[in-house]
Amino acid sequence: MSPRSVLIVDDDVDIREILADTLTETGFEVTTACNGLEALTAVRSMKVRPAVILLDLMMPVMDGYGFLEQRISDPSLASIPIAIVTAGHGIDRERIADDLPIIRKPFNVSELLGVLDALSAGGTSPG
Amino acid sequence: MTAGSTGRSGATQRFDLLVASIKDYAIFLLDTSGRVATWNDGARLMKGYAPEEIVGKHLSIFYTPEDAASGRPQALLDAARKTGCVEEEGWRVRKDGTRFWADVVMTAIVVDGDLRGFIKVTRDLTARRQADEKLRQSEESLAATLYSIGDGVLAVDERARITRINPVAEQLTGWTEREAIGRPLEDVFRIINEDTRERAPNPIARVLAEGVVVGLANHTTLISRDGTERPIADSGAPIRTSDGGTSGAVVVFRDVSKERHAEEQLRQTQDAVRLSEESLRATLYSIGDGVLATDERARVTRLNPVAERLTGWTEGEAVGRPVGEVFRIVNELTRAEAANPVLRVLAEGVVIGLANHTALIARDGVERPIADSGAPIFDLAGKPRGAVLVFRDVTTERAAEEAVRQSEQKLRLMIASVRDYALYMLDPSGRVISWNPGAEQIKGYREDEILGQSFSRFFTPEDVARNKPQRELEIATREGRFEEEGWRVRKDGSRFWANVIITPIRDGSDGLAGFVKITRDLTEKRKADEERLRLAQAREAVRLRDEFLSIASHELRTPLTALLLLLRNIRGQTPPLDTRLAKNVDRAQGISARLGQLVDALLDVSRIATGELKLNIEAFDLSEGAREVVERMRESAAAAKCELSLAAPVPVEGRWDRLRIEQVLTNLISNSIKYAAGHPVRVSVSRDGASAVLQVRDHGPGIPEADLPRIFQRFERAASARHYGGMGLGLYVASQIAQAHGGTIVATNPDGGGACLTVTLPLDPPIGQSS
Repeated sequence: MSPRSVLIVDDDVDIREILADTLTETGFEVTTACNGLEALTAVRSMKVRPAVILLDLMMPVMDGYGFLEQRISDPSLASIPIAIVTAGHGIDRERIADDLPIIRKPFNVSELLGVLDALSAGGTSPG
Repeated sequence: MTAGSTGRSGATQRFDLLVASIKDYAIFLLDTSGRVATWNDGARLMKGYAPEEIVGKHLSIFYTPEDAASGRPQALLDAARKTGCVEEEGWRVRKDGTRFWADVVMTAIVVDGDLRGFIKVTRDLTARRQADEKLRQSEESLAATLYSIGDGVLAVDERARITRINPVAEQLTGWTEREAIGRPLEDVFRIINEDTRERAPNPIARVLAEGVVVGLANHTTLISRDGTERPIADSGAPIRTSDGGTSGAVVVFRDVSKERHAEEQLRQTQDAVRLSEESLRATLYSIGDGVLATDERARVTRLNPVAERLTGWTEGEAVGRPVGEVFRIVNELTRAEAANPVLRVLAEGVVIGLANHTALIARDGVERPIADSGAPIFDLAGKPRGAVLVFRDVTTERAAEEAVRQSEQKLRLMIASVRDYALYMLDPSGRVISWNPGAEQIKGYREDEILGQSFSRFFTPEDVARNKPQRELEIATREGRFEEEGWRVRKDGSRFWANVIITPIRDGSDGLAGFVKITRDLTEKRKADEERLRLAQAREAVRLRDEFLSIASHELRTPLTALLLLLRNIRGQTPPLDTRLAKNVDRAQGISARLGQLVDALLDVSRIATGELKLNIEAFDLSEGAREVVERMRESAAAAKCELSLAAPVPVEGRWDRLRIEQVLTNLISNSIKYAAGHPVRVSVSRDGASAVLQVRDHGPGIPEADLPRIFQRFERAASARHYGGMGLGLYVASQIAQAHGGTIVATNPDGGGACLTVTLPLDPPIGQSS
């Protein structure tokens, strides 16, 4: 089984590192970015695009909404499935496409893996 | 009359009848000897004799004694016999001895050559004779007058030749009558126009041509025979004949050089009088007050249009009437006829001022309150010549005065009844000159102890030291108003927060008459304001706290997530942890999970506080939902040694926010497990009409009665904080969720012990929200 790739975009260093460790152990190839802008740069520099992006909303420099807007205008980004991972404060549903799964912090690992499986299989979140 | 006609008796009778009825002529028959044979009514009236006393008498009785003595009667009879008919005029005598001038016609009656008698017809000519005599006398007198009057008189015939010229005319023309008579008028009466020096048209030419009287020509100068010029005034009139023709003309003229000067003065005076009269009239007739003038007998001489309107009389009607008839006044209060001011003015010669409460009754009965004044009119010699009365309708003024009076009264009443405001007045130097109950209430001084005192005593000593009272008055005087809020001092020394307005009062000549001061005690308002401010601040603090709670609880989730992940990774690492470490990591995971739940509760509370609790309504079976929750809680219940059971025998379908309703049940079960540890907890779901009923019943200590009403309030806990952990948020959040669904949650301590929490939810909540 070839390793599945995931891009973790979160400004919290603990989340980035611990989640990276967790998913690596589970068999994912993990890349991280600490805000939307860094994520854009990372994705565009990659030879192979990540299979899934886990995107936090509240971040400095460019937040999750900013990244989603860039994604709409960039077809190469739009093809990458995204899951929103958020503490839930200030969610603006108007700016989030309906088909994006939302994972609320705190989450348990099995819940997260379920979403990742669904997304990398080409489907959408079961909700 | 002929003798032949007497032969026929019918004709004779008719003649008799005719003669008898003639009254203007005495007609009677005489016999041949001259004695009266018949007598008619005209004869009776003229001569005074009745027929029975005169018939048979000789005609000489009608003659004056002189004429009778001289044989005139017989001479007349003889002449008549000789010629057949004679006529004469002469004096005759009536029965009463008076004489009259008579025209007498006597005709002899001859039948067949024999004298039978005479007919005598007499006419009384006295009136004619008198007129003739008058004429003669008049002519004499006219001539005398003509020659004695002071004006020049010239008479001309119809060809304008002089026929008469009197001595004055002689003197003025320089011609004697003797020289002048027969000469053309123009030779004697040479006149030119004073201004143009051209020959003036002679008035006589027009008089003769048109037969009219020609009036005085102005500016005519007569040039006398010796060349002397004199300004004259002249007139011409025709001399008429009895048949209406013109037989000549008469010119009357006089030297006006002397009177010209006087006339000029008179004219100037008249002009001045006329001008002043005109201006007086114009003034009189245009002024807005009624003006009535009387003569010295109190009869109206003038009435201007306003007076006409007020009295109802036109000037034309009123002039000449007694003033009391036109200007009828009564005392408004007593209704008695009021003394007419004109009469007093005339009697006393004084000016009479305004009378109060006088009403004028107009001709049509309309009554109007008036103000009037009267003054005498004096002539140049200082004699009273009348009175003038000036009056006006004061209905409007009266109404305005009344309105002002009422308004003032209202204002006074209002000021006196105002208790919330001190309303008082200061004199220009700042001393109190009026006081109202509000001022007494606010400042504590009675009126008698504060009047005359300086208003500076209402200020704090610091303000007085800074000369603030004086400065306030200066600002008010300069700017028309002063307003501030500041501390003032009551009589008892206590301070109050006052709103003060000072307004200057101007007197009629724009000088400063004083100030009106309005003071309001704002201490209570200030307190209230401060209270409101504190409340607003408190609300803001609560809002900030809720916002902080929301942000903080969200912020807490991120490290909590990291912690849970970390603990999970540690627990699952290879090689496996030893038993003791594994047990501690498990405990740390449990604590972290509870931390997560508290964070969730905090979030819910902040959502409720900020009104952000949103429901995602969907249709589901409450029994099914309850079953899932009970399954999830079974482990926790077991840990608290609580036997957890569910009675949900039938589906209860409804429309609710599934997650929120499950949260309600979770919270209620958690609460029971916490407070009734070691006792069974029973959950039931049922349907009651249009509502679903969810009940959690435990057999613990129950809820203290005093706490029942407030168990669902925010941050309330029935049990003491020392015995139980947690923040008491669960029940509050549960009740808020139930209420958001239009439902209720009730806590009771049922018979048999323990507590019972009952949630009632409408099957179809009255809220339109859906996912």
